[in-house]
Amino acid sequence: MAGARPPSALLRGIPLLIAGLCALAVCAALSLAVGTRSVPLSTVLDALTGQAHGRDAIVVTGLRLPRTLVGLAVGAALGVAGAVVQGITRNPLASPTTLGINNGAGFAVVVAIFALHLTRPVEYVWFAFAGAAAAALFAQALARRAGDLDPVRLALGGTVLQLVLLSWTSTVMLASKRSLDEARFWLAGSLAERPLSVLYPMLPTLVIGIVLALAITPALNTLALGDDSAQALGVPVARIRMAGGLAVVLLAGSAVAVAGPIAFIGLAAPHLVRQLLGSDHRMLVPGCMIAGPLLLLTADILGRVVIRPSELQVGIISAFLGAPLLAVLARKVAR
Amino acid sequence: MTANQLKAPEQQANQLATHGLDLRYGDRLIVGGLDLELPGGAVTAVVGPNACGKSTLLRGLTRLLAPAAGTVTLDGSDIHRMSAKALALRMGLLPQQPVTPDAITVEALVRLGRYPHQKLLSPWSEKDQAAVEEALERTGTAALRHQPVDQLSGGQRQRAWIALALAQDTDLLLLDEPTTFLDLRHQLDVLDLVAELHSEAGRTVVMVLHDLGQAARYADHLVVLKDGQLAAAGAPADVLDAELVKSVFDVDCRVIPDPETGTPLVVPKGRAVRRTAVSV
Amino acid sequence: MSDVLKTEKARVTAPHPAKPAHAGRRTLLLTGAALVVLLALVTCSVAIGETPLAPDAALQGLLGLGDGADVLIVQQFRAPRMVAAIIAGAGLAVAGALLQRMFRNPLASPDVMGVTGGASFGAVAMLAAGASQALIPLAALGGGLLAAVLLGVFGWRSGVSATRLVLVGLAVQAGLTAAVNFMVVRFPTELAGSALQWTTGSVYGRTWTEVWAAGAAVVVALAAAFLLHRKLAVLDLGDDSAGALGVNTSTARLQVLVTAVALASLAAALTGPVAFVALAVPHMVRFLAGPPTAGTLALTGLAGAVLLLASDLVAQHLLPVSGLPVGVVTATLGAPWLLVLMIRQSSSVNRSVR
Repeated sequence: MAGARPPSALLRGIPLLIAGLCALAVCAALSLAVGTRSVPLSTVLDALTGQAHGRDAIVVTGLRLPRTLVGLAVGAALGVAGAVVQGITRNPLASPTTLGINNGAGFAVVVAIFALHLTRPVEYVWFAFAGAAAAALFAQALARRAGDLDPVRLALGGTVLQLVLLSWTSTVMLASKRSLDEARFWLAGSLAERPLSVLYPMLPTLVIGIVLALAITPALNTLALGDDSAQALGVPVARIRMAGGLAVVLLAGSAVAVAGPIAFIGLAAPHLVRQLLGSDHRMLVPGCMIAGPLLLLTADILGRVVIRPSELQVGIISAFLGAPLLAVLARKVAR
Repeated sequence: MTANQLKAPEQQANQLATHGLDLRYGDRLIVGGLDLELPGGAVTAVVGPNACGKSTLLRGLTRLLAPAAGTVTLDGSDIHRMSAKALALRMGLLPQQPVTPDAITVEALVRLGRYPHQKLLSPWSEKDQAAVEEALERTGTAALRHQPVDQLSGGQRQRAWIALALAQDTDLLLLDEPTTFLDLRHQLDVLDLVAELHSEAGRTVVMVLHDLGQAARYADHLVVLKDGQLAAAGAPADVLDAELVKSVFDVDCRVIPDPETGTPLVVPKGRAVRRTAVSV
Repeated sequence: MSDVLKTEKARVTAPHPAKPAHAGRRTLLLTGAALVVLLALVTCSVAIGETPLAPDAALQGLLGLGDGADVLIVQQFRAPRMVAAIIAGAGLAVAGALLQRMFRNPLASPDVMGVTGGASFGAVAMLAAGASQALIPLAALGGGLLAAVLLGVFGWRSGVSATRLVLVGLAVQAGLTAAVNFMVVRFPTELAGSALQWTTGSVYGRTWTEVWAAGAAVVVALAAAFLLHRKLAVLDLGDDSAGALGVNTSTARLQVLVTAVALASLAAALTGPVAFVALAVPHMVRFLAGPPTAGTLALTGLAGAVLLLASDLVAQHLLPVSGLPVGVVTATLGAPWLLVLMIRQSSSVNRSVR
């Protein structure tokens, strides 16, 4: 019973969280140092404090710092969104993708490229967010029954919506070569060429989303006992689901707007954290806030290293990495 | 080991026995070194405190759980050497919390009990239908046959599940807490049904029960478990006394003859301190 | 205690898709209707085209009767495509029904569990290697089976657990999709286009050899699916009851899994990984015809064939852009049906999500 855990049990997770933070710091440092042009860590430090100048410093502050910050924000958003969506649907297989968020953004962006001849990821941001939000809200509207979200309908409706949007996206891309050529790189999901100006417009939604998610964590614990038990414990089940849904839309929508569709983090992060910290949402959500960016940055760094001097989109790497991870977790989790 | 105190086993068919049986879940030893003989043609009740391994023992007796050590034999042959289907023709089981498929009707559920009797391509036979009809009749669920099981009351649902086990048409019937979640009347209905199956159809019954009084009343043979070990076994009147209840359940009590049947009845001694707290 | 109350309440309030007593007759009726629709679609697909034929002439041509030119057009160009759509549709739908029922998860389907991802991977890898078009179906079949092997390697541990298999399936699907994405991103535009075309699913350009080979195999797998149906019904009772009834639950699950994977891979070899059919058709049938029986399984196959053939006709003749694969239509055409059914009926389908 996750909800009944005494605070002392929670405290035991704190060292793990701190260890996670340290790992994340290492990852961020590596993300600043590693790439086509490797920069020694000392130079990275100097560049950050403004003491170093020259090409290395410009690479660090001009390209990699924004990229790392974007990675941190996107990873945290995806991780938390994953934890919340699994909590409100009580389905360990749910992820922001299940709500059609990635495909909604993808379709909106492809249409924008097709109709408005856009060419740069910065220009896609609002289209992607709008597409993601519209898809996620539609999926939740589909699942609404008697004023409450029905988890099964949410999962089913979301998947159906996902397939429909995917087929429409394919239609546009097959009908217009130019759209295909522009969109396929964005659709793979990447942190490259994302200046901070891409992140700024999404900061408010990200912050609101995180606050909302943290606010409902105790309620998510009771929700895990089943709707009726939660209701009996005085939790407004329908309202919690609504708030959770909104948090997911804000978080995952912002993430996809900034980085493009990255499928795996939202699914893998909660599973990873649950293994280490247990299923208490009060630990799970903060844990995902660390595990999400940890996974994403690791994937991004690998993407820069594996086929140097070229680089591979983080969305592809994260799926490559996440897939075996999930497979191994699945072996452990399910007897 | 009180296993030695067992009376000489009656050499009847349908006799289940365990020899040095170890049952584990992962690394956890649930039942350790159990030597047990369950007389054929009798009603045996397995009782014991929570988590003493009653249900685990039942799963071990039905091949659902492979023993870590030791054997389970049915009339002398190792059940883990028998094919699943061959065993299913001899032994039926009602699990503690059966999974009812969505929207299945009572008759469709009971028909599934015929599975071990059917060959891959054989059609539904008259014999199958007759067995289903008899099972429905016996359990009084014939009138409910077209109703979805998940819309029945608890007692009706339990009877439908017993009907499934009856349709399986086995000499041995294992029931895991068949009275849980039922009110008193339905508990008695189910137990009467079990008694009737034994007396009229001559079935051997092994059931896990919680209520010592009911166990004493309905069983010919009592098996008392504690911490995965045999605490006592034998006829209820011989086995059940205040000393045993104290050592197994840690409850002070008096054992008096049941005013209705004369079988042992366990009456816990008054515990003044608890009296108010218990009335929640 | 609250747990008991919960199930009790759910049981009382959940309405049923169909009155069980009428379910059998209803299934029969729906099956008849589906057959009629399928026949109409078959007629359309052999009659409509660049040289339109009269329906009766087209049907005669299908049977090898009538005008020689008509016979050629119908038998050489239109029939293989039509038969491929029917076979693949039926195969995908039945595969989805088997998986959803066995895993008690409404989302379990070859789309989610790696099989179609594997088929895409095989085909796209073959495209990348520059092999001839004729090898692509074989590569797709191989890819689907590869996914199944991966599923087995990671998912098998002293028996088959439903949750673990679904999770591993998701992982396999994600990994293979990433591999496909990788190739698409690194391809030149031209090749990326044909990769996308193929991975969306297309019935275009199937030959009789391919159709017969895959068709025969699908028929065998379908027969296996129906033979397994009894076992599947017993598996529904949960591991303990199924075990007590003499079903070896792990072996039985493996048999069902292999059958479903074979069906889905064969279908994907014929038409590519057409989305939606395997996921949604079983749900539609469930909403319409009630709890699963052998009859509804047959209806599911028929409905899948109807959906895929209808989608192919739409893609071929009704869309403004020519040459679009059938996969872009199935979801668009099928989704509204499913959504309407979902909204009208409350969800007593597969209450257990996990």
